Amino acid sequence: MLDILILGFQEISTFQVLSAIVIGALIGVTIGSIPGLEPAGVMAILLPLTFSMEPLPGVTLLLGVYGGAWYGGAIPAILMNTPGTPVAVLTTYDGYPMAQKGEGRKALSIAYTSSFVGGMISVLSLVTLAPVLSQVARLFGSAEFAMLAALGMTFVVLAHRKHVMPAAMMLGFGMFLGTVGIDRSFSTQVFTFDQLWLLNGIPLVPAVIGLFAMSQAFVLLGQRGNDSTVTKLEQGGLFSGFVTLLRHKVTVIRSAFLGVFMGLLPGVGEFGSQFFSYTLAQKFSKDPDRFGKGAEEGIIASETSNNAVTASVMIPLLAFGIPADALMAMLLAVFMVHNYIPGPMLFVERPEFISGIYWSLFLMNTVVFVYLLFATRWIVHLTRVRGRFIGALILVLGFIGAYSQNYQFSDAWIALGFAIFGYFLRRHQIPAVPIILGLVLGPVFITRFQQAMGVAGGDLSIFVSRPVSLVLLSLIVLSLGVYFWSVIRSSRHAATESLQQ
Amino acid sequence: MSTHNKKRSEVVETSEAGSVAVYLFMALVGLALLILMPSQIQWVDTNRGWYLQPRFASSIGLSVFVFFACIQVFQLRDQLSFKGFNPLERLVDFIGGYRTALMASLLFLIYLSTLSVLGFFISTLLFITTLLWLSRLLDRFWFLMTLCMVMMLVLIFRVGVNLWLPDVWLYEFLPEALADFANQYL
Repeated sequence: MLDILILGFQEISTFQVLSAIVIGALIGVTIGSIPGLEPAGVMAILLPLTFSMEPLPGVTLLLGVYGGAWYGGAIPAILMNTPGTPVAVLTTYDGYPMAQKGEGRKALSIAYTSSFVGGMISVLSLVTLAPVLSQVARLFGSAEFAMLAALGMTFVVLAHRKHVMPAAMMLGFGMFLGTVGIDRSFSTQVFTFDQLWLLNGIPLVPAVIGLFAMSQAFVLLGQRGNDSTVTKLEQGGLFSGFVTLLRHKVTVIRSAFLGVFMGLLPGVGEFGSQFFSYTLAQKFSKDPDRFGKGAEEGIIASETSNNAVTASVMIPLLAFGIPADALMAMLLAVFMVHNYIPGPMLFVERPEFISGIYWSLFLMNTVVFVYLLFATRWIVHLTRVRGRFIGALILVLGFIGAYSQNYQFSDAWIALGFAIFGYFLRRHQIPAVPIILGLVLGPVFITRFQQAMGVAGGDLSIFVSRPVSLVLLSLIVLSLGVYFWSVIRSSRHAATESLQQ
Repeated sequence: MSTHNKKRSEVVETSEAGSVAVYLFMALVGLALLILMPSQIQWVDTNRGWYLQPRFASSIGLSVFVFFACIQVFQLRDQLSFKGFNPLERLVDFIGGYRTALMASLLFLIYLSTLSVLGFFISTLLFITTLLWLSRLLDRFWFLMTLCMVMMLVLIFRVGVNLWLPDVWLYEFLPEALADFANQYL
């Protein structure tokens, strides 16, 4: 293990990787600090750029953006009552009241330190769990991988809580889009409508850029005015957060482990972990009434659990090759471009790469934390940048991102098509993330299903006769069962309430 | 439930997504694609197994799509009413709701077509300036910001990353050395 860690350290000790860590982290914090700008959009724009880089700097750059944004999101959440990233929404509940009481700097300090501790625990979980789970993955055959992909898709859909049906619908649409192009088994055309540009299938990069970045630009361009006021920061240090965290050790540890666990479940991610952590922190607090009025524990629970997801969410990707969310699907694209196939063999064949990722995440968290401690007073000004200006800029960057992969203007048109579709989905609150996961996990499921069926001679019982596959199938059935049970229970509850009224 | 808890549950459990017309439209699109399947995917006579048929994967995706779209239509069927339905009025409402996106898309298409006529620098400057003007943000400060940003984009992507773009019509009128420089960097 020590040898591998040293190898990884050597791997990151290059100018390219170190600059990718720093640039990614700075971009991430900047994105997080600007309300309305989401890391998914910027990662989508940067994606084609990373294809031309070495694999480790490419992955590191995207991870820096991803991780840094969650840190930066706390700044407008605390000072403007506007979450910089959607996952910082619960930080506003206690951060903003603290800022109004003249404790903005203290609230920021707690948020930064909680994020740092959560991020570090997450990296440690990745270092310890990923190799173990990759050994488990060695026992997997096609049947197990098919069931794992199906489980991932099930979790992604169920994670959309009140929007489960639209999410399932969009997952199906994504799966369909994943089949467009040339069929691998018989080389026949599938829904190409005799269009040459569809022969290679729906390109992932323009689709992601359109759905996440350019559709967001349309939203930003429609914004009017900039009435949000930024609470002024009082004088004082930003180092008091450590002392506060020591006073709430249990909340920190509980939130961090909850974040790590939630990160392992596809689709649940930061939002689910943050909600559960916050609820538990309030439940076990000695002073639950302070929550929502400036409770330090509220910020700790929200920020620790957010950032505890950032590294653990990579475990299913590295160990099994299953992306847990759309951002991990983008990382998977970088892996694939460089022919790095995630799974147990990657740990054997490229230990320095895996170890390099561990080190990069560790360094990224440190760089972001130190940067925020010393540069907050300047970063605060970014919250004043107008959304309309950013929207216009995103469209140009969207063009560059979509075009630069193949130097084809048709890719920019595809991105525009997906942007309009993405905007349509946003307006109707239909989730777009399942499309990307359907586009990525759908072909994995189909290919593995076909392989398993081929091995079993067309006998479907292969999925229940193999123990691991049976366990995964049972998990799918169980999670669907729990969902339907909760739906029936809540509808009965609602019916009883309406009868009583 | 306290106001704070109510606020939180509103965030986590957002309102019902979409309207019945949207799901009906999606269900119809999905059905149309299913109907088109025989003409779009060839049937292969093989004894290698039904699961290898090229239609298998698309059928799964489209079936899931149509099935859940139909469930949504069924759940929201109370909203389905054609009483007093005026298609022209609906179309105008629809376009009004998507005004910003449609305008920006149109400008984006014009931007793409002007890249080979005016070059990256001028096209991008005009594109962002027009968008800012239409969104009523254009003043001296934001124009200067745009100019700085476009110069940064040129430096990063055209000079730094060496982003290739087709030769520009406008630069043909420049002296050869200057035209080469402009085609490479601007």
